[in-house]
Amino acid sequence: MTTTDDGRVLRRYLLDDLPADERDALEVELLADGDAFQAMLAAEDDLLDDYARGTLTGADREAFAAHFLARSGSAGRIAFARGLQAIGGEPTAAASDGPVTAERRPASVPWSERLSAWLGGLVPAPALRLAVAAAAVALVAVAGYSAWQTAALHRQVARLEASQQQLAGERADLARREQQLDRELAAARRAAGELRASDDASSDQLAAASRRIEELEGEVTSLRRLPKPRRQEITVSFLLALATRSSGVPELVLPDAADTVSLQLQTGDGAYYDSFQVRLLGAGGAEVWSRTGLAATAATGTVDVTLPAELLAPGRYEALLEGVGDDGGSELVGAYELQLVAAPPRPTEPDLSSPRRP
Amino acid sequence: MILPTMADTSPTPEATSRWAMTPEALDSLLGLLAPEREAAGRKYEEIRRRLLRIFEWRGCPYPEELVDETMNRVAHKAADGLELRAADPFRYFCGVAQLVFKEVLRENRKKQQAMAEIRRSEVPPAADEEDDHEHLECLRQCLGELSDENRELMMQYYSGDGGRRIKNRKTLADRLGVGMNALRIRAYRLRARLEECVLECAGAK
Repeated sequence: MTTTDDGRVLRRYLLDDLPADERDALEVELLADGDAFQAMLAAEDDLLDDYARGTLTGADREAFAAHFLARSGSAGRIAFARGLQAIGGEPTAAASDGPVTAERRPASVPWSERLSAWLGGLVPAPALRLAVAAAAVALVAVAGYSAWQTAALHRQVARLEASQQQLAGERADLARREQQLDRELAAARRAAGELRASDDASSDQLAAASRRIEELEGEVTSLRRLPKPRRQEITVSFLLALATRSSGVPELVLPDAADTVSLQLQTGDGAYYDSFQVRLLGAGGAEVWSRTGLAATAATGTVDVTLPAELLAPGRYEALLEGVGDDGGSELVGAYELQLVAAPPRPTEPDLSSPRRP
Repeated sequence: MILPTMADTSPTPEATSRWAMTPEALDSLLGLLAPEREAAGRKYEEIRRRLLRIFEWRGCPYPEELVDETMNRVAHKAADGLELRAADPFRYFCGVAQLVFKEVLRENRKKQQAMAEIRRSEVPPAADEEDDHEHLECLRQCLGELSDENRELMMQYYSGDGGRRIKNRKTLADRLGVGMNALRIRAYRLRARLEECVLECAGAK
């Protein structure tokens, strides 16, 4: 078995973590053996994926960023790795932990089905597609909420926030690389200026200095043009079932970290309409938000809308679902009352370092 | 196949010293690699490609120039009568590359310390949603151009992390009836093709 059969050795090499004699011996193998070289290229891709996924942390992450980001084309490769993960459904926040969830995240669907759904264009709009790729937490609207549900929600939000931090780290790495390039470019320009002012500079030296400036300018332009890691949207979804006399007004918990709220309104008997509109009324019947030209989703029997969470302060709301006829006239299909409450403060972690009281 | 010529190995200003490539040195180097010129040219290019990567993996700031320096030095040694044992040619190239690397390291140690300090500083992030969306669209388009089998291979090979990733790959290799090495090479080449496709698509937009 050669050195390059051991994936751990390859990773240690790429993270500059091998003793000098092992590293030198490995490099001879890389130069001499095509398979060994390919194995190292593949190991680099895996490391890049781990970096983009956020599973590379601490000193390993710094080591990888220091070497990798310094190379031209690195920003594009990182963007590619993130794109591959987004299309594959990673990173994914966990689905709700218990029986009350109305919908599961795509992570629980087999790869082939998820890919077919994507290719089939089942997710209609680009913005919604990105929201699906982003983290989503789903809760069924039920009367009241339990401490257990709230704890589950806090855990999910904590995982999403960790994911946000990872993206922030990637953005910081790219920004540092941009700063470094700016400094190198400034130094190269100064050096070129000194050469031009000097009587001894040869035409080769001047040409090389100009080439270096062009290379650096090209790298800066490429880095700035390439996509930056974007903050993932946190969407909280609620399924609004048609109320019965005994169901009461559901209380829906809205976490602070939520960016958007997705409402799924059951169409019930109104499903025969081709077009719907939704109006959300707040205190005193004032319209808070509305949207027209909506279609029902056949698979779920609902009309789905997404609105910014910042519009929704805690309080009582009424969502009106109206079917719109060919003549433009509308008919009320469903009215859904809901009580939005803010998520209670996150419980603090117990201090395990302090001795227990007797 | 295009054989290396003097234009490919034109000396940089830093290498205007005794290591600058000459036609005689290049001929000697090619002769060292293989008796037949076309085969020697292929070996030359492959060694260059691998050395470039090795310098990149070492974190060298100007890997192309260091590869040139390495090849130039070996060429001059070849012109001076160097003979390499059949088992040893790559060891010699590596030895010279490592020497070149150490020289660069010594010269740039102070600069590298300053760069390390800069890298540790925090900078506020920036985001571009439109570019992100375009890039993702390009990747979808390029994935759509693959055969069903290759597309599924790509998604399954790169799914998961840690132990789960290894398990996925073993399952995939068993299903395809190939060894892990063959699978790894196939996945790597597909990924390289996809990356090129995405770059072209994003550039065109």
